[in-house]
Amino acid sequence: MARPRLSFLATKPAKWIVGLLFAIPLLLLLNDVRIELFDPGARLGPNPGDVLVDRFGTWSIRILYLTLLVSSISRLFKIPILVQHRRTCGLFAFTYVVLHFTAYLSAILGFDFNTLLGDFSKRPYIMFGMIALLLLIPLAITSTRGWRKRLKLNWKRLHRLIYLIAVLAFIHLSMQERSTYTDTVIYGSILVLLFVERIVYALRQRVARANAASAPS
Amino acid sequence: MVLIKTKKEIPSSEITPEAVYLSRRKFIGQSSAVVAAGALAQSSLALPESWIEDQGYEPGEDIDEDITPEKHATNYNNFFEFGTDKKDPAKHAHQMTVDPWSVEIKGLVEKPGKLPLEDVIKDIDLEERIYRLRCVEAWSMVIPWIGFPVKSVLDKVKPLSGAKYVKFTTLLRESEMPGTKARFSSIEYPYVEGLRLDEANHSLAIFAIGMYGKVLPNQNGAPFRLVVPWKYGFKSIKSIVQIELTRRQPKTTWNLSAPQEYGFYANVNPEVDHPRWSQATERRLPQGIFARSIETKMFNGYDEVASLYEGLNLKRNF
Repeated sequence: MARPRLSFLATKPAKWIVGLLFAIPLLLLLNDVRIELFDPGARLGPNPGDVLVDRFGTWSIRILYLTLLVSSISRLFKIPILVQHRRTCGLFAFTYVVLHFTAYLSAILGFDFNTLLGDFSKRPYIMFGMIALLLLIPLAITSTRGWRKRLKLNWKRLHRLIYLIAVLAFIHLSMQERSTYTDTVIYGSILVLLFVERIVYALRQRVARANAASAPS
Repeated sequence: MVLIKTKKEIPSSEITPEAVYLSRRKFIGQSSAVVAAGALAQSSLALPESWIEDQGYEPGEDIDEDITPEKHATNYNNFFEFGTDKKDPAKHAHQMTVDPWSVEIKGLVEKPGKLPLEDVIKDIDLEERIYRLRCVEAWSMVIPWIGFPVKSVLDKVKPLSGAKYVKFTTLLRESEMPGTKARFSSIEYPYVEGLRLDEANHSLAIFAIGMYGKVLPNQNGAPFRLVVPWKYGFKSIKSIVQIELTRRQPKTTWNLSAPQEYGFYANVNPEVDHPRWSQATERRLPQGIFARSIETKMFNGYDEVASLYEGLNLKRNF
């Protein structure tokens, strides 16, 4: 079946549109921050630090999981072109994670690095979150075409770290839930589905390869 | 009215010092208590303006440390029966019927019974108390409450000698409380809190029926709530329908939900961290994005309660 319209996904304007979509929450939040600086409490309420950390954190995990979803959808619906947007998606996930951490470091900790180290060593949910952030750095750096060529097969191996990061992010979120398990259930289900799709895909590939090998020549 | 704290380490007159408030004029005499009861009968209304003027209530006068703006104290709340977002209580609490309201008094008391709120507060003088409120989530506000000591109610119902604890229960009415119907909830309703009897009898522990010179808004625990300023905010239970005197320490909501995070005592203590954050500092709301946090004080700065805990290991009994 021909899918003429999908070819639009591969064009430059499509990339710009995708980038812009991911930038919208960031731009809205930055606008809130700008207004807050002149009129405290106007947009983010009386406790803006908490709100910023929370919103950047929420967008981080959403976009991170979306990055993994892109590959799944491209396989399930046979739209390989989609994968071209995975890098933008991943880089935005990284951006939001960095902003999430920056908001925590500035608005919550007031750049108190001793408390930061204390939090890191004493509080497992912070440790999980920070390890996830640190692991994202090499992925962001090596996301370019040049690095991909240079690393060859190792690039794929390196970028499998995203699965560990996704799990760490989930633990980081889940450990902070208090009165409900809603987010744990929602993000946990998504994570499970993402893994199931990959396992099923890998098994099918293996069966296909085995069939190909045993087929009479 | 000038409220000045003499101890110099307490930075301001934001708090009503015990010695001063005990001697200061009561805001309402016996006859005005009827006014309050009348106002409660139409509790969506503010107490009459004239009442506030008659009592010489001049909010914010000569107070060094700012009283939290009313709009923040009434729009940034934890009242999970109405939802877990800070704005949910202000959005949904109007659904709660607060009139008529009765309070059941039971357990180890001489005079148990179910009383209309008007009768509970009958003949009790109202006072204004300006207290710091320190939330366990490391933020704080300064709120002018209108209320009366818990002791004045306990004295009326007369606890029996075996009574050691006071258990308080919040209204549970699912049809009016959307948060109680949340799926995947890990806390159980009705919300229950408790105090040791001697804590409840401490003169700083009050029941509030108003704030900012008006009747309590629903999201702040209308029509009748506890305020225990030296403990984390979750101890100051809202919208109370039952008071029970018990021999044993009551099982309280947050303590049941996460005992390693929320102790029964829950005294404000900068030296005992919450497992997920330090309690050494707090954000005094409203706080600008890049403003510095302030240091948290033992017992939220209310040192006069320290004698209640002599010989008690406050690290273990957090």
